[in-house]
Amino acid sequence: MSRSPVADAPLFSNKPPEFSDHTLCQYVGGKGAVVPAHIAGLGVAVVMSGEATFRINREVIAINEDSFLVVNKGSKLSFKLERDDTLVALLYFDAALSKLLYNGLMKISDETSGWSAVSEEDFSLVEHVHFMNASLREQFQLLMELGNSCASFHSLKADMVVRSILDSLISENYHALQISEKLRVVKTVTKIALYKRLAAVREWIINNCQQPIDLQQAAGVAMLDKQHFLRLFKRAYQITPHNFLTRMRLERAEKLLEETDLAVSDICRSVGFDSVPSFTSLFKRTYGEAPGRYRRKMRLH
Amino acid sequence: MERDQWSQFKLRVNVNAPADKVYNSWATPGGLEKWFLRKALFRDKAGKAKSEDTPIEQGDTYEWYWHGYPDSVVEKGTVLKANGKDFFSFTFSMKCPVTINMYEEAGELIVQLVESGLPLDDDTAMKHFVGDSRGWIFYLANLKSVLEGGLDLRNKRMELTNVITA
Repeated sequence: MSRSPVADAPLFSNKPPEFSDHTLCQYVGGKGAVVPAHIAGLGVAVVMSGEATFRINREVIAINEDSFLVVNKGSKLSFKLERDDTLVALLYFDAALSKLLYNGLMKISDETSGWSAVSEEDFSLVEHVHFMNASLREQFQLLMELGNSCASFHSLKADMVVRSILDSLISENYHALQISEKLRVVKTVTKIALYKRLAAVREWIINNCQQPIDLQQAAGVAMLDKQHFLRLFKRAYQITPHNFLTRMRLERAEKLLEETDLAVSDICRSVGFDSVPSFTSLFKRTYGEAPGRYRRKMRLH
Repeated sequence: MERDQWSQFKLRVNVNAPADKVYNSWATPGGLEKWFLRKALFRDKAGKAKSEDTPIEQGDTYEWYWHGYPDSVVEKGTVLKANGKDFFSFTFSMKCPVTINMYEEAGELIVQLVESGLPLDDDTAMKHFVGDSRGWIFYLANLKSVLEGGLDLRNKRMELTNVITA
């Protein structure tokens, strides 16, 4: 694994590459540098610093340090660096291992309707922009360090990190398949497009739940009509967007109660609730105890 | 070097310590944490976690974590054999079997490690052979150091990277 300037970036042919080992490509270059269109393998693209604009099939997606992109095998990919300090890391998975892990997951999971219709190599449902998490950033940082490292078992450790990323991706794809089936849309292209929009809103709610969010805004993120969005979200996730938002806020509050000494009123406001009594009442209904009592109980255990 | 010679390697180290102490350094969770791992989690066939001084047995599964690395760097495998005396075997990288033998030679205890079944394909043969053997060389040296002098050579600081000691 090495860091390549854009000019030396591996340019693939017009058929998907078959990587016999995990491959981490790193791209650095000045603002405006371009990696031309090529057919990609299954991978994850992360912007470690700066910004880049990706063109994947017909979509144009801006990625910065707060987001990452899953790339499906066979997709047409190109990207442009938008700042002088941009560093893009593109991890392509070992084709054989991804198939192996996928089949392993299949064996331990229940058969779901529609599952058999989707190839084990198809990750089109999760091929969209995702919000970055601390753990993935740390994993990519580690991969870049291990690539040229003299550390003991460095390649084995890199494999472990890659496998952990791939496990999460396969698991997410599996859930995406299950959820997309609930949309009850026959046409695959429509199903994929709708699922991606709903998944993007779901992630957006998780990452912005401390802000005031209304149905109109959420529907706007999904680029869907309000009522259509409400109906589809509920169908897919078996919960209304509003209740999902409340659940995310309560989960965040529970974490803060357990891990910090912040006052209940401060936690209430920081997770996005306006009123302490309604927060207390919602919390009690969900966790069986009022926030203060819940915290004391948790600490006793 | 012929192609099939990349499929396994053998390493030997002489250790001046009692055989049972050396065996327990491999075959108990606590023993492994003294010279090799940050955290060694073993579970028996029923899935019950083993305490640090409980002997590891055939069929146990493990999760291994290293100093200097977060928990996302985890190796999972199975104990293939443990005779309670001088033989211990487990799956490791790419599920390759690693066998530990202990025997006397010229009045000293020899710990012999053999990792076999390494992939032979053009793209990854070197990576596994060199990477794994180089890793074991450091840890076997550390086993000797810990058991003979008590000095643990491992780097335990997360902020210090790219060193052979982690």
